[in-house]
Amino acid sequence: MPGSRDGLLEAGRVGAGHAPTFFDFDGTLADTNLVHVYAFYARHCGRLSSVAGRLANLAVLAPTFHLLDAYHRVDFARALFGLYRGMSRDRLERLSEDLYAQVIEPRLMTYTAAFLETAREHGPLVLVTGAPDFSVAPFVRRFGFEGAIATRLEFRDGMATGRMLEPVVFGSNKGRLIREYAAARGWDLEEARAYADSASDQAMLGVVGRAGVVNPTTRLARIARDYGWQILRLE
Amino acid sequence: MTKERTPTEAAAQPSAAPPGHARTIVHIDKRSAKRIVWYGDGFMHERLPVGTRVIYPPQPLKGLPDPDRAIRQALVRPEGGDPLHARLRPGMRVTIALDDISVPLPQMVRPDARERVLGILIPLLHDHGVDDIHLIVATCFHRRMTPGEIRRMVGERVYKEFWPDRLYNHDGEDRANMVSLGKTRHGEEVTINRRAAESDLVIYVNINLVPMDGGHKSVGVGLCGYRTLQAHHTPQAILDSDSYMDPDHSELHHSVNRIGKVVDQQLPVFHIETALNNRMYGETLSFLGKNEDTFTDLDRAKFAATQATLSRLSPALRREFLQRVPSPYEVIGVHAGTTEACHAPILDACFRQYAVDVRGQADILIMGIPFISPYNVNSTLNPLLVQVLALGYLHNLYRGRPLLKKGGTLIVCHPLHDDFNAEHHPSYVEFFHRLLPETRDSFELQKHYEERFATDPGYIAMYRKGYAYHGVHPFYMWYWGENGRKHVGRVIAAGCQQPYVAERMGWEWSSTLTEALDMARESHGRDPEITMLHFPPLGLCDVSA
Repeated sequence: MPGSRDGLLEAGRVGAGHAPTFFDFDGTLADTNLVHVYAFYARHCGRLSSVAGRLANLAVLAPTFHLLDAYHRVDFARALFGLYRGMSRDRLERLSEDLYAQVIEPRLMTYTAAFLETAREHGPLVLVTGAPDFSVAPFVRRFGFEGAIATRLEFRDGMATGRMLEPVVFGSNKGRLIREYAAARGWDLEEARAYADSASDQAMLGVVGRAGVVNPTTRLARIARDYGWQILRLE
Repeated sequence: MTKERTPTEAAAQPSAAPPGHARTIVHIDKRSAKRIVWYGDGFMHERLPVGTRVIYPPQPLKGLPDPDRAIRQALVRPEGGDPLHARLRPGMRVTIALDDISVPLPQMVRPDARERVLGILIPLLHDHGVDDIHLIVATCFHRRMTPGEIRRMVGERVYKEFWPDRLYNHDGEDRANMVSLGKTRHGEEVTINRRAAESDLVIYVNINLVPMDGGHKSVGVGLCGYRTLQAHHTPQAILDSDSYMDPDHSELHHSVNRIGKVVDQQLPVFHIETALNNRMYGETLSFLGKNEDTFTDLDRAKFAATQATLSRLSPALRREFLQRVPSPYEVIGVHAGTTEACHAPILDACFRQYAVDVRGQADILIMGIPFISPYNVNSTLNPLLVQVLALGYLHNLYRGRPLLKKGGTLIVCHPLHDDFNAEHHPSYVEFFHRLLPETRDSFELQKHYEERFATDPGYIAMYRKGYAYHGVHPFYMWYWGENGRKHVGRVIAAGCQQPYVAERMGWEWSSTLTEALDMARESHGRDPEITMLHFPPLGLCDVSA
């Protein structure tokens, strides 16, 4: 058949269970963002004075964060994660189940469970997110993800320093980290899928054989059309 | 199909066909007026070659004088089995399944026939102590209907009482809510909606727009999933159908009937089937169903005004304008009861409305393609849907033999824009732009790609949680043109504005209808038999030699 050398026919023969799927989290599977997560931890960080101080600090910095997020996502993340300084790893990890129950679960998209269920039939699921690893751990466990590529905070003597460990899981790094993750497991990324909602996730979407953007902005939808990515309009 | 009719049925019968049936075929001569040819969301206005045969649909049959009374009588005196009220008992679990937005086309003036039926049916159920009622829109793998579309279809009262918990769209990918009823003797898998399968009574309310609809197809297809569709939504089933608008000669229907019989063996199913006339146009656009030689000055003025209005609108507004004008269809038949017994008289009513006797096939067939198909209500008629209208639906609207001779030339009048609705038809885009350049062979497409599209998580998510047709749907659209594709020698897209679109589907193209006719004559000599199908409104050709 003409054209089969281009690989389309080969792709068509891929069987179920061999194609990993990489999912972005915030905005794709849950209507959450990094501020939601930090605000929860700030409310539960211990002494009342500390809680008040952290929340007041967050309120004061909110406009700055908003601008930074629009301007440069990594700088925004650095600034926000700086607020974790002084929180104990033990508390962050222990509270993650409460974070899931109180913040994340109510904000999961209505389509999330069904979408993940279908994707899982094709192969392992991997979460790729700029959110701190401890914050998404309960979600990863509940929905049977094979693993997660998530931001890691630096801890010294069990306390957060407010710095992120390299590599940060944002922008172009997401693409590189997915490649490394897949290579370590012998996965062929041509068979893999990825779904995300943000223009900053282009690198992540670009490294897999089949990509989709979820409820994209007009700009991202235009990019998706140019690259031939799926455009998923979901309720 | 003939049987003695009860007084109730007689009351539900339409009047005899008007004399308009005799004028359904016109031959063009030197004095003939130009013909109006549908051209997407506009028209061509063409002088056809002398001798061209123009086939018009029959005039609309007279609607029932009192459709509500006919519905009540149908429930009391069903075809086969007990009256509905005798099947009811307090506390029973009832599921009402409804045809979706794909019928009728365009949407009908309110009240929709389904609203009429529900308005009588639901109080009847309540009166008998039946309150565990779910209404399921039997979308199969069509897109979900929006809340607004459902509200318009079922009416305000039913919508307020049942939406959203007990009135919802079928989801053929919701594994937890699909159950297997086993296999047919041919090994066809029968899976259907769990709520329906676990009900004490399933009531299906349909609109039989074309003879392909209704009968076992209602539950057996409307509420099924992929493994069941795989039995008959295949290129081979379509090739073996002659035609699929003629259920007795349709392999598609043979398979669907086997599946439906398994359903009927395991579930108590009560059908309420309705047939409509073909009054597609209201007073404003009624000229579109008329022989142009009989146009009055008012008709000509209306046509000029319509053309002027459409030409001033953007493509999106033209679509909106045309799709938002509801059709004043009238109910010409209502029958209820067991699947086959109730479907037979409805099929009779359909054929009585649509059938046109045609003697002799054509060398060249001209089809105007309108703005709408079953799969683009409130959406775009993309190239694959133009294809399924031309080589699928309109080609198959025959009994006996196709209107076009084997190897004949089909001229399809449509601008053929590379225009897809990304929300409704996302997998069509990939099918058209990635698969068709690889192959147009339905069997190759089925073998290598169908399963991949059918199981794609993104497409499934869009079908289940968005408003997209299922990922596999464009394959079905392509398959459904298979017997047309194998029968027709050449397809020429007349007035094609994006030639690569035509070429991708294996069609030739021309700028005008005249040019297309010249091209066609190259294959059929100087004096070919040319026929124009002046549809819609719909008709069906009973073609003899």
